[in-house]
Amino acid sequence: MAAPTGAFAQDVNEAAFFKGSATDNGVTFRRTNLQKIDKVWRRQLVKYKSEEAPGTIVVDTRNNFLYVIFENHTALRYGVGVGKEGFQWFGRARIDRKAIWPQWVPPPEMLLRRPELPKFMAGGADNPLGPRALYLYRDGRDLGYRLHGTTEPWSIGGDVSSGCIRLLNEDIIDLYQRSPVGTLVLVLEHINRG
Amino acid sequence: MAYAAARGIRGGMMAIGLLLALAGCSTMEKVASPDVTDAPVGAGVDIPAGSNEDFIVNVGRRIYFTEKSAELNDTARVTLDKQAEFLAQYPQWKIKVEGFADEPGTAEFNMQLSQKRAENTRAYLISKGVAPIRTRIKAFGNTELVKKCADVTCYSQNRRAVIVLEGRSGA
Repeated sequence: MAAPTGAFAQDVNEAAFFKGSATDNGVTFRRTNLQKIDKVWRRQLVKYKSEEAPGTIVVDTRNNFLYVIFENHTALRYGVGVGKEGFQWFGRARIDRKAIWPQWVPPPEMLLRRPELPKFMAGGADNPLGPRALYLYRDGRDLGYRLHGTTEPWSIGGDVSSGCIRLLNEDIIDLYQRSPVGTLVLVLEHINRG
Repeated sequence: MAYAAARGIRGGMMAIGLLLALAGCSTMEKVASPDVTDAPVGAGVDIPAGSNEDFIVNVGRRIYFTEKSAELNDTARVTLDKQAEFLAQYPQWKIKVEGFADEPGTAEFNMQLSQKRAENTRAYLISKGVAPIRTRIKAFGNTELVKKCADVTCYSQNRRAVIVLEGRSGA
């Protein structure tokens, strides 16, 4: 997909962001070299002051964090990359569908921007959605907003030109395990972001 | 920019920690982690392997069930496989398997359901090599809801088993 922007616009040594491989549900993919990921973007326990019930996912697109609320005002925090589609919606939603090695259908406007993209991409190690996708719905309607993995681990913590909310592949697999269908998602509003 | 903001938060916290250290106040340890969002709770990313925090962050304690069911689904088994691996690697830990239920049905029905959830969870872990003597179970029925409401956002979180690490045996 498109090159990352902002702090990550410099040429990155992409190969250095991978170390070894793993097999998941029959698909072999490259593991993230966590040593290359800034500690702030790596999965960790933090305090979180809110009234949300445990299990709720909170997405903070401004600070590039995603939280799974735990007990006693704590949360498990993940670093995320936020794509253009990731800024277009905020509010409360629900995970009504989850997929393993999801297929990808680029939205029409992205195809206009990048006509070289395929109209359909089967799930697999080269698919930009990565090993899992969690689909957000409201009142039974697919919002087109999803949490997914990435083939570009260097883009975590930054803003990217496409996609929704991307996590490291190891992290989206972890989040999939922790979030049953029916999980509530709160995407925080940031009026200064389009 | 987001990156810089996050760094700023961290820098601020380090500054607070430094101030407290300089003040040398006797309650420093209790307040070393400020009570604000994003303050670190544990060891950050430098988690000691085999610790309870390692289990919580890198394995996961919870599995989920569907309505009126005590059957383990594929997702639950993936988490339990990771737990069994952890427990094989760190034999000092024992576990308590806690079963929970919510609605519908009577308190008695849900007590039995939560018991069955805990039993099935334990049986699976034992089948994966965890010694029975390291395990115990506790059923909570519908007495400990994560959240109370009449839709799936609550049900999905309430229908669960939680595997809690307990006192290091022989330590």
